[in-house]
Amino acid sequence: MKLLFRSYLASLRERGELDAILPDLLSELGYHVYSRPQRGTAQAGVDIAAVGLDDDGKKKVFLFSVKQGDLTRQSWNDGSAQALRPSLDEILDNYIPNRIPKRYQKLKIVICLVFGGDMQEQVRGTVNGYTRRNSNKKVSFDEWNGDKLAGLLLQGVLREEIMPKALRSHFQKSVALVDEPDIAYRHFSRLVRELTGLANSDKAKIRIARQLYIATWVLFVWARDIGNVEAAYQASELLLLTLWDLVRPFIGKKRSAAGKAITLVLHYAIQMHLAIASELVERKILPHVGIQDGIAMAVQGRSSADINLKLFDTLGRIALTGLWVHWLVERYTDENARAEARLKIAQFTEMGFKLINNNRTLFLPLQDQHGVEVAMFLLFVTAVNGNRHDAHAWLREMVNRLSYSIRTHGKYPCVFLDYRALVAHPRERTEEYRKEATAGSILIPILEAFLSALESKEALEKLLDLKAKELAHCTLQVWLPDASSEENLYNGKHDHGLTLTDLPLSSTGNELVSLIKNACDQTEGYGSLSAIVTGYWPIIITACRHRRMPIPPQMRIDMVYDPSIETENKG
Amino acid sequence: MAYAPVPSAEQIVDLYGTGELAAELARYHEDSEELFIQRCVELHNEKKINLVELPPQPGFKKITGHDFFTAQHFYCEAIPKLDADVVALMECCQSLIEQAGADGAAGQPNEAFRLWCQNNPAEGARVISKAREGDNLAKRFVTFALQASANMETAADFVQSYDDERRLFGMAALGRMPMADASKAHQATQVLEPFLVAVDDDNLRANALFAAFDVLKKYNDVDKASNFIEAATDKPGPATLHALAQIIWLHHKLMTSQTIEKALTALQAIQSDHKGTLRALDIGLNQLLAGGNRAAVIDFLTTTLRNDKITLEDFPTTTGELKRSDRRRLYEIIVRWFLSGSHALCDNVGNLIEFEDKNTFDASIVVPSELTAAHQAFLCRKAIGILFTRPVTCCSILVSVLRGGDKEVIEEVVDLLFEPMLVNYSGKALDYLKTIAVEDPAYASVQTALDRHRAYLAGLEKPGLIKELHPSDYQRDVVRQRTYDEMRAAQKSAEQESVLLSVVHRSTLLYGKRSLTYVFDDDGGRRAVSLDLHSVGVSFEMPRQDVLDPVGLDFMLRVFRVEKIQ
Repeated sequence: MKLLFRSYLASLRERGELDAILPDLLSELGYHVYSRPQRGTAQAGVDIAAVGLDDDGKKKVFLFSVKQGDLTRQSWNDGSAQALRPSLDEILDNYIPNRIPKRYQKLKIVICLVFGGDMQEQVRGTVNGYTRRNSNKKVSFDEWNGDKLAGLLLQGVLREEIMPKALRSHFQKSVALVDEPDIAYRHFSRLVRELTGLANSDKAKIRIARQLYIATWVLFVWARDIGNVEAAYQASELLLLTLWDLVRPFIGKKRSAAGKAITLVLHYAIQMHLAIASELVERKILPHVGIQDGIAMAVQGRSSADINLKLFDTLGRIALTGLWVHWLVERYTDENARAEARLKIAQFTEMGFKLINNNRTLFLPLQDQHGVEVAMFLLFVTAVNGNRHDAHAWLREMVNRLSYSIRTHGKYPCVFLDYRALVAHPRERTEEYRKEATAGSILIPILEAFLSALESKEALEKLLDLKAKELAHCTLQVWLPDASSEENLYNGKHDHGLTLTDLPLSSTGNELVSLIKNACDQTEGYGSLSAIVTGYWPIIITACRHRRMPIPPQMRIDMVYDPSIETENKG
Repeated sequence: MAYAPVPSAEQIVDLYGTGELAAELARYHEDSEELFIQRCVELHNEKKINLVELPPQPGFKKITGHDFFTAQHFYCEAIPKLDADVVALMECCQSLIEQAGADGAAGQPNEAFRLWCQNNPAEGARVISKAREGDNLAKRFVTFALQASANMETAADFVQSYDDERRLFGMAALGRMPMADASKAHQATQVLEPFLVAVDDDNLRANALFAAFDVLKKYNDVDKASNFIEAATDKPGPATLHALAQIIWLHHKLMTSQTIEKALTALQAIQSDHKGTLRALDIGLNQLLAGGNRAAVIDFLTTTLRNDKITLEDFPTTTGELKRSDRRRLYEIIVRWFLSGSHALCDNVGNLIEFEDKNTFDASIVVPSELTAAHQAFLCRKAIGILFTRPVTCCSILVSVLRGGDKEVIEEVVDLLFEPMLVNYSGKALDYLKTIAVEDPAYASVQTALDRHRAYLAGLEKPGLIKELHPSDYQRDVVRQRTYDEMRAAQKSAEQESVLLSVVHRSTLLYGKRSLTYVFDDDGGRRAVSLDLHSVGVSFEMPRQDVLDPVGLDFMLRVFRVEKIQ
């Protein structure tokens, strides 16, 4: 286990990655972290500052300066501001004299040199000389290398008393099998389920939040090392939902320390999730979306079902990542960071459409359930005022293909979820089979609603005709959260919500939009979802993607609903 | 095949006594089958055995398949030499014919009976006499008795005196009878001619027509042949059409080109369920192709195949000839059918291209210069819509259009050559396009498409390994199992339909690459037979879009297939 963490710590690429887990590790070890790393703010050489008991049992101030990987001659002092020695100089010259909070000024100070790997021998003499020269009664130095950090992890958040052997086994298996994402995720989700089962106190909840956060980080770093972050992506989604489930009870309790602590972990987890998504979406997918069939071929599937399923899943991830960034934009205080995020959002919508146009299986899902991804991408485009023209062209072609494939018994969207059924679809080209495969649909109402907003009369009429002639049996439906959704949406434990059925289609789509609007107005579940109440709406979309639930129409209705329709209908 | 020793006369008698002679008749005999037949005939004529009574018996009825036809062959050789009562012999022949069913060789005993009548004229006369009296069995065999008698007047009397099936038997006999000279033939056709216009009796008309051409075969008269066809093509019924098809097949040399065209025009009324007529016509058309009536055949097919109930699969021999022989002629047919606007004709083009898809249209084949740019582009789209699964042939049609050099269409054809053709097929189609020589007028345009294809393939390489997108091991296993099941089902189906596998002994070797079997020779010695194993397989390239975007590919091909020329 220690070797696992040593290797993980040595593999951390960015300084920020080590920053991200260290505060939680310290907190769990009993330190009081009073300064955390913050992007864009001057720290005078200190990345993390905490107060805690040293090995001699005395309370001291610990100032951490963090570097990734091994400490080499370059990372010690290559003349750049990122090297360790300039940071230490700044701590001695600036932080200690000016920035230590008054209440801790009498305490002795330990400056901790933190790096994920080892100190290389050729630099050890120089470092020792430096620390000896600058040590005195008040200030001392300590080396926190990968080995020590790994030991602390095992003593701290992941120690056996709080993470039993069986759970450690799930964690170890999820890391060991990270190149088989399905299996790795299965073990990780068992770890999550069993660990959250132990959350019987506020303190336990905080500890579990930190444990899961660090466990996900370890999984991610290992996954990144072998070039397959799929398990880490799914694990980080699950982590967000689990953390939300843990923090929910504290909403509205402003003075709750546990609430604050878990919220802090949640914010770091969101950043981590975006880092994982970025590793996949920005580094691997987006650079190639302009290549005809490039991403579809990269699936390396022998069945067209593989390509279709993976590409719609990928489109959903692009949308979700974009929506998270969109949500974060308003929370950035730094204007440069905001501008950068806005640019990224614009790039995401453009790249999403490039992905669609160059990988044309995205013009029609094989699974009706991929209506979730269609809705997510349209929601993203609508939310960020993306290209309506491209969205319209996409939906028009989708209706054309839907109509054609259903009429010719081709690869039309079906209700089946089992992979075997999807690969074999259409198993028969008979009316009976088609009725079974198209028994219900969430996709068609989504198309109707967005086409209505785009005033796409021709496509709407085509849908209407298709429904009347070929899909009279098909239950068009929209899922709405209800009062039980708050308890079950994030953890996916039980069925919840209500389904609005037998939706009307028309050549304008107004009837459907109006009906859904009325139903939404009369259903209270959505408005009382904690993620909506607190403004963390991307959690809902993450839950829908992860738990394979339809996106609540309330999320898009404000964007596509024209209140004048209501007036017209009443008139 | 095992050969049995020829049994001695005593053994034959013993076999007859024990009821086992029928089985013996169905065996091949060593050295000389004739010896066995001769022994049996002698024993029959000596009344030690009775061959004539065997076929109707249950022991004989049990003989099936190839063994039955061995026995039937025995009878066809033996019957002319037998001393027998004519009624018993007719019953014997009838039994043999019925047991043969619908096989083409079923009627062989009739010829044997004719020879018997020829050898026994008094008995033949009895058959004629009994037929006149209305005896059903005799009526059935009277054609052969009349034919054996070589008495034209008697046959003519049957034609003119009766209005039941005896008239037809008379006609058949008249047609098959030897004619001493042209005047006799003229007399015979005069007897038949009035019936050629019998619009209300299709069967009679068909028999008269066929008999008339049987007569003309001996003393041809081009004018008469033309008149007969002229008469028969006025409102022909199914039987007359069948006769016309037979005449095209068997007697087309007796007719002028115009007469052939006349007959083929009438045959356009052929119905898809008249398989016998279609089969006869197929052989006839194939012979016409070889005999310089190519245009008439292609015109006939072009008109007839518009009726989508009849396809080239109904004309396998003709189709085979069109596929194999003259590539320029094939190209002209394809262009004509694609531009016809008929879905049925376009669909039939698929039957003209070999599945192996090896033969291209070479550099000498250029799109007809009279076609407009719109027609040329339409031709290319149709070629893709119909021949997409034969990419090499399809590309060679597109290249033939590029050779035409019409600037208005080149860009579109290059686009089509790149996508869907090269985007989907990077195997044989690509190899073919690389063979287009520098001096070929299509070279530059083909190179443009190839450059785009190279860029496309390079693009596909760029994303490299994105493990997150890969199907899981479970999913790969599901697809592998499904592919295995499909292939196994296809193999089983192919084995069931295989003619070869149904007649040969099958051995399954679990190990090794050679087989060694010992067989016993006639002298009882053992001989080793060794067989080296070789792999036999068929491969075809799946279009890339079938996996990447099956709905889009299907939709595009459907659009190309149903598109009409503006």
